[in-house]
This record gives sequence, structure tokens and C-alpha cells, in this order.
Amino acid sequence: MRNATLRRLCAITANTFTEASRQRFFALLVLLGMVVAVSGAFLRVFNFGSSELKFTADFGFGCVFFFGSILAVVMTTQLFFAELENRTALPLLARPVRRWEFVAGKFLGAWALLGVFTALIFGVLGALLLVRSHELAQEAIRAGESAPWFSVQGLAIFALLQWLRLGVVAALTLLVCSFARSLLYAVTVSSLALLVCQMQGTARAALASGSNSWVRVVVETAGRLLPDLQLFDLGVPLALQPAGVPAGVVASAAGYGIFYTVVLLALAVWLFSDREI
Amino acid sequence: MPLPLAKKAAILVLLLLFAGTILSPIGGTAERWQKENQPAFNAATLEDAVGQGALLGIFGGFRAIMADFAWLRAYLHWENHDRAACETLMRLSIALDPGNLFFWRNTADIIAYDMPHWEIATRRHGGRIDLDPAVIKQISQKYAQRGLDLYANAVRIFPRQEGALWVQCALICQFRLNDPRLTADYYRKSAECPTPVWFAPIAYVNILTKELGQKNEAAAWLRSHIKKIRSGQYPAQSSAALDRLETKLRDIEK
Repeated sequence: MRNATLRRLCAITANTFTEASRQRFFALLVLLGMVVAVSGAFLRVFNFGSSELKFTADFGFGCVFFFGSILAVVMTTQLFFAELENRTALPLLARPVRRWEFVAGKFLGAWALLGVFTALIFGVLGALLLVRSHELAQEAIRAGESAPWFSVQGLAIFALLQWLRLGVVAALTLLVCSFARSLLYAVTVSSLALLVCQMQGTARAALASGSNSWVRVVVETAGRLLPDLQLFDLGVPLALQPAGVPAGVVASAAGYGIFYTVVLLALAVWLFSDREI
Repeated sequence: MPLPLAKKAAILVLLLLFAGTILSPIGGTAERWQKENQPAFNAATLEDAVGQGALLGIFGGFRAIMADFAWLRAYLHWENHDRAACETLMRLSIALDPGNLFFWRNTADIIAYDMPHWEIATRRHGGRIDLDPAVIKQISQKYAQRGLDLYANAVRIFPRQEGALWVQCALICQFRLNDPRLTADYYRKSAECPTPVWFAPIAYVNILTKELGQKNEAAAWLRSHIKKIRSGQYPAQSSAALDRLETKLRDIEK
């Protein structure tokens, strides 16, 4: 029985992944992401004072988050609604495929694709940073200065955290898709929710310092409604600071991402379970 | 039997709230660490960018380049002497990339040194109106205080630059406020912080002796300061700096 469930889940995941990876939109975003990430190295003429590696890395991290979020929202929505609009979901769910298997399969397929996207962009960014850090280290040695710090391991850990963050975004998008009636509505609401998730840490920090305790309570309560995506912004200390980030902090961010993804998926399954298709 | 839509939405909100409450302790360690170790997550640096919050959030990772572009735009307004736009954009640069000392120092200096001249020129209407010296002093004080506040915030974010930043504050007090007491206080802060600037004790003593006429206080402070350096309280001070301080003490005691 368990084997059958696993087989069905794998089949939906593989099918979703194949379908998504064949789309031009994915290839376009990967290409665009790589070009933008690399162009950070050429935009350093605009840089005022921060270290060159930090500037390039920051640009690349922004690129992964920006294009990754677009991919997570648009691709997940498109994959979900394609099944409903093309009516391919009807014969699929008429077979012994449970609705939770359908939702989980869609998520895993989209998340695997986001993993490929993250790995490709971080691969290019890592190579760029590695080459440049060696050059800068040699220049620094010649000038008698301390060499800049760059950790490939730290970058790899951050890549995993970014993948988890995009997983949360994909799960949130699936939650919206589970009750949305149109693709446009799902994309719009998911994008707005993503904006709130990304901004809520800033908003809480800024508004909670106000003296009004009621404001603080309202802001704190509102902040509990959606995940705080800024918790995953550990890229610069992980990859570019010798002190790094304590393992407990990385585990905390990773655990937060994994548990939130599971909770959002569970809610998506609950909403989708009695939806009329 | 499917639940009514309103009931379902209410349950969804409650479940999200419940999940958020349960899961926030899991991410609590990461949140606390970020607030303590990353200036971009420090509420003090966010105050100036609340209105720009959307930008700050959307461009999570593009902070450095957005800050640089904001700074370029601030330069344009600096050329036109547009105080409001220039200060807003400079503060936005700080909020977007608070780990960059360049933005802090230049913003504080432009506000303290340049902006009073711009406001005075505007109020004088191209020299057609004479301004009361008291008004000019008030304008200078207003901008100098804003510059000093920025430096005080910068000290919290760059503790290793504390000595150098207090010296910048002393210079503002010296050249914009003409206040030797306050100038001396800032040089003293620089001399007594964990990362002192080597000339700060000498500058402090010079102001005490030459401008405030407190020769005895200067000698007493310098003796105690030299003792502290010898006991290893300020390891950043070199032996050459100690020699200079001893020479200075001998000069005062003559």
C-alpha cells in the first residue's frame, strides 16, 4: 500500500518536473538569472566602499531570490492550473490517486525544478566568486594587506537555505492555488503574499519599536499569519565573513523553512480536498 | 459536505495564526542572531527607511546595488542643493546597506557641513536679506546635531571604528558649533574607547590647556591615561603613541 502511494507520488513528481523543465519560461529565467548574476561583477564601478566580493555576492543572492521567486510563483501556479484547465486532473483523480498525493506531487516537482535553478545560479556565482577571491587575495598579498575571505562551504549552505526559502514560496503558492478560481488571481495573490512575507520582518522591527502596546500586539499577531522570509538572509555572513554563522542559527532557519512548508502544504491539501474540479 | 466559504476562510486564518505561533520559536534563534549581528536587521537603521520598506523588502539581496544607485541620485540632488531629497536618498542608502561605513560618514558630513550653508543661502535669497547671527547659529546647530546623531548610530554598528567616528564628531563640534567643551568631550571619548585614535588624547589635552585654560585637569587626566595605557587597558595604542603622550605631559608640567 505504502509502495503504491510512493509510486504514485513519484510519478506525479516526475511528470510535473519534466513538464516544467521543458517550458521556455524556465530556460529563460535560468539564462536571465545567470547573466544578471555574472553582470554584478561588471557593475562594481557603481560600488561605493563595500568590498568587491560582498557587492558581487549580494547581487547574485538578490538575483536568486528575485528570479527564483518569480519561478516559484508563476511555475507552480501554471503547473497546477494547467491540470485543471486542460481537464487532465479529472482522469488523474478518478484513478486511485488521493488529492494529497496530487498536491504533494505538484509541490515536489516544482521544488525539484527550483533546486535545479538554485544549483545552476549558485554554481555560476560560486565559480565567479572563487576566481575573483583568488585574484583579490594575490593582489592583497602583493600590497601587504589581508586577503578577502570567501567560503565555498558557506555558499553551499546558503544555497540550501535559499532552496528551502523557495520551497516555502512554492508551498504558499499551492495554498493559494487550492482555493483560487483563476490563474491570474492565484499569481496576483501569491505575489502579494510573497511581498508581505519578505517585508514583514522589516515592518515588525520598525513598528514594534513604537510606544503603543496595542500597535505592537497587532503587528506581532499579523506577523504570525505568514512566514518571515528574511530569516533566510544569511548569505553574506555565511560565505564572506570568517566568523560565519553558528550551526544552531542555520538549523533554526532550515527547521523554520521545512516546518512551514509542511504546514502550508497540509493546509493546501485540506482546502483542495473538497474543492469541485 | 463542504464547509461554507466564510467559515473555511476563518478556519484558515486561525490555523495560519496557530501555525505561526507554534513555528516562531523554531525560527527564533535565527531571528535573534540576525538582529544582533546584521545591521540590516537592526531597528535603529530601519527607522529612516520605514517609508521605503517595500523597496527594502523586495530587493532583499539587491541591497548593495540599490543603495549605490540611491547614493548616485543623492549626488544629483547634492549638486542642486536640494536638502530634503538629498538627505532622504542618503538615509535610504544607509538603510539599504547599513554595513557600508562610506554612507554613514558622508551622510553625516554632508548634513553637518554642507546643508547649513544651503539653508542659509536659501534664507538670504541670494544675499538680498541679512540673517541674524543667532539664526545662523541655530541653523548650524540643527544640522550639526543631526550629523552627530548619525555618527552616534554608526558607532553602534561599527564598534571597531569607534575612535575614528568620535573624532569626526569632535571635528563637527569644532568647526560647525565652535564649542570647545563639546569638542574636548568627543576627543576624550575617542581616547578612552577600546579602539582609540592615537592623536585623540593629545587633541583633548590641547583643547583643555589652550582653549579652556584647564592645565591642571589636563595634566591629571594625561597622567591617569598614560598609567592606563601602561597597564594594558588600551592595547591598540602603540609605544610610539605612548612616547608622544609622555612628551606632551612633560610640556604641560613645565
